[in-house]
Amino acid sequence: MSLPNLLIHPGHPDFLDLPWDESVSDWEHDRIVEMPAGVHRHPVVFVAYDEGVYVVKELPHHFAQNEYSVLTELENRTYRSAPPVGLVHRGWVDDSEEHSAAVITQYVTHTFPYRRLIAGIGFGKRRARLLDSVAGLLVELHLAGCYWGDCSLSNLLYRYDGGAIEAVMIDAETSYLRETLSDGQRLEDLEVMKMNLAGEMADIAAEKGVGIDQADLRLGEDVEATYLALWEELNADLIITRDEGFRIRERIARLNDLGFSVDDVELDPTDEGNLVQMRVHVGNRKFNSDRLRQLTGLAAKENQARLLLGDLSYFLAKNGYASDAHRAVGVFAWLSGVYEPIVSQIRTVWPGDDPVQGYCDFLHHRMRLATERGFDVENDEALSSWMESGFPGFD
Amino acid sequence: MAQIVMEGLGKIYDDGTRAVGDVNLEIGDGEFLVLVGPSGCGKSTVLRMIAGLEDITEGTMSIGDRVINDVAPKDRDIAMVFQNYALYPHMTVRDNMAFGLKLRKMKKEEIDRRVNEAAEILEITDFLERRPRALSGGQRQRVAMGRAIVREPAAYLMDEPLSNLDAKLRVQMRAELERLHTRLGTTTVYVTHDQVEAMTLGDRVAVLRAVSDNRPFNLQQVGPPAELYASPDNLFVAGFIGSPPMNLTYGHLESENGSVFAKLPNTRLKIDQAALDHHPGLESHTGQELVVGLRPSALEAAVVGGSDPERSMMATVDVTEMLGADTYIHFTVDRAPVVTPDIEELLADTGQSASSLGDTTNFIARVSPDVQVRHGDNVELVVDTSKLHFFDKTSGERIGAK
Ligand SMILES: Nc1ncnc2c1ncn2[C@@H]1O[C@H](COP(=O)(O)OP(=O)(O)O)[C@@H](O)[C@H]1O
Ligand SMILES: Nc1ncnc2c1ncn2[C@@H]1O[C@H](COP(=O)(O)OP(=O)(O)O)[C@@H](O)[C@H]1O
Ligand SMILES: [Mg+2]
Ligand SMILES: [Mg+2]
Repeated sequence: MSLPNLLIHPGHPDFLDLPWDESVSDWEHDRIVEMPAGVHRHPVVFVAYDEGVYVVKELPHHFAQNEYSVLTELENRTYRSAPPVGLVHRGWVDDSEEHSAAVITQYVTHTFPYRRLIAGIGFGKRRARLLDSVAGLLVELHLAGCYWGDCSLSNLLYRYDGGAIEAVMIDAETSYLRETLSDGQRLEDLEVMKMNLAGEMADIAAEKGVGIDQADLRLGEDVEATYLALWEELNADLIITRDEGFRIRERIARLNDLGFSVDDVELDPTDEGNLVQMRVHVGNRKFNSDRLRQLTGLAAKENQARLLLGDLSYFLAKNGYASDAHRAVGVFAWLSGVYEPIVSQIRTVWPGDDPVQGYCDFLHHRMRLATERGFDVENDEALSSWMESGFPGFD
Repeated sequence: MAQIVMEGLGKIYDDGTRAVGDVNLEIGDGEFLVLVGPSGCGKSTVLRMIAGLEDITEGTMSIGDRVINDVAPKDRDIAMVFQNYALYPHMTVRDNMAFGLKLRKMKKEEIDRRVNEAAEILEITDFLERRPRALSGGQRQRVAMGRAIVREPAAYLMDEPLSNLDAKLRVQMRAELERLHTRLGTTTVYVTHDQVEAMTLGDRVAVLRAVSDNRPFNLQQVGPPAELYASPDNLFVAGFIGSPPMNLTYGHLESENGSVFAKLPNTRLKIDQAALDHHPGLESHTGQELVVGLRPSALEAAVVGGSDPERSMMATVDVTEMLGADTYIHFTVDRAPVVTPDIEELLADTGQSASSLGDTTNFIARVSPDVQVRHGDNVELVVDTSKLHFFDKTSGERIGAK
């Protein structure tokens, strides 16, 4: 059996037991497992090891190399792309051939493909969340200097993140990275996205047997509008007067609330003596997840972290731990007395696969009860009610 | 449809790299223009400036009669072809081509007209109501192309579209592109590093070269393929265009009894009046060492019986390569290879360096397949002296205007 050149990130299997001398589409192997996959062009298989499930995608060397290097570099710049694991090059096959190379990525857990998001009833509500997630991801990629070149619903994976949906980029064949993107690059990326989304929505309509006219062709335009608003919010230069320092704090708070950390704020004098131009440099969109990890050691997605931090603050305030001096004790009390017991119950009964999301669904239910009744509801009661009502989520 | 005009076009990337300098180029309405040159010479950057992906840092770019330096990509009325060609499985071929227009809220009659017309040109009319699954690989690629065609853009841009295809498919697609351009007549700018591809596809070819401190511009020569082949403006173009490449060696001109001779390592060739007329001003370089170029096709094996020694050179055959329609004779001349900055740059592009070249120069003659010679044979090669090229050995510039 011929062995290919393998470039593997440390901490993963060596994948040498896979039948590399055959084309991936012909593979028959014990390691192969069935997993839901979206629409795709290249042969893809899922393989299970002790370390986890991996995805092997076969494609011409040129594209494989590009995808691998972009994903590798992106891993240092954002947190919303498939983690790359390896690049496989079969030197004995012509580089332009489909099966000349492969990219191995880590299977992104807790996700589902877009058809599940769109199909079925209730897409109306999920649609707004889809817009936010796709637009948010594009903004984040662009801030990180990444031109995607093929943003589509099927090149994303989705997972619930608190009340939001998080989108994860998986297909980077056409992407490239720059220090900063030009406006032309960003706008062109939006054009590609609009075209792809229109095609995908038209295809769904065709599958249902209705004409293009009935398709949700505006989805991409709505993503664009959401993107532009968010981009503007992040990048607008504000003019403030010297004594309006509070507006700086306000802006930072707003950006943090959106999940973006603020690396620094630039203040430049203007020609008009009393006016100052303010510009913020935003970092990753993981302000809340970083903060949650710092305070509690818990790992959660960005929106989940925002909800968990809200629950934590509520707990600290209600139980008199709000001052800096008592915070550490309060955090421990919340973790051991509230979060962990509830999560361990959720683990045993909840059908979903991400217990942190279960906790967020529970928080959401508690909030709904409190709003209905007009007063706070205790955790025990809220938890039983949530379980008895069949674990309602955000939809 | 439209012409594309670049005036003093330049690009300095954010990191300070100058990729493009002082490009002045007019691409005619309906013209197929190829940008060609070694890797890193700035081809993609120029194309991406036309597309609006890279900011223009110097000069202006116009499409039609509009300066587009600050116009968003989608408003430039151009189409990058072969970007991504996802075909949607549940939609008919017709809808696969139409949905983009629908997105742009175009009227149904207009959409139908455009799709029908594109299908006709692409010869896929019979498949319009079928699903992509029913098509062959080649037909699918045409549908993808159809998506660009129905937009009826002012220009198509293509960046090495065939470089990832295997050799056979590449030749096939090249022919297809040529045919399409003839049918559509839309302005096309095409980037490739492959000079054979450039010469076969382009109405005109622009040869680019990486900028340097003492040469802050990329454009070396623009012209129809035959012109670049017959009259390269400098050694860079001479060495880049043509396969096998032009034979180059050092030589000088001598004048004797009113005649002019070119003294080369293996021979002394009489330059007749026609050739002198072809290179006005050549005689003033008499006595100076020059670079002399000779395409393989300007050499032909002499028929037995000997010919005029003032028009031929003797060669000892190294290798013969029989290609069917032609035979290549490889031989050496007794002089170290020509090394100038132009040549060094071309060598670097193919991973060679001047120091590895040795002290003789390899020449190739393209002769009739009837010629039967073998390694070690001596053969007399007749030189078409009207096809000699002369270059300044320092600047690399062509001597004698066209
Ligand atoms: N890292 C991953 N985790 C989970 N699923 C994945 C991953 N990478 C790919 N997939 C699945 O495989 C499919 C094809 O992947 P993609 O990279 O889009 O291939 P293609 O280039 O063929 O479009 C996706 O739709 C997705 O369902
Ligand atoms: N984004 C970039 N930042 C800095 N330098 C670049 C960038 N892109 C290309 N270059 C440089 O600009 C020059 C021209 O590149 P390019 O236009 O890609 O050439 P070609 O297409 O002819 O290979 C090269 O020196 C290249 O390294
Ligand atoms: Mg994909
Ligand atoms: Mg290039």
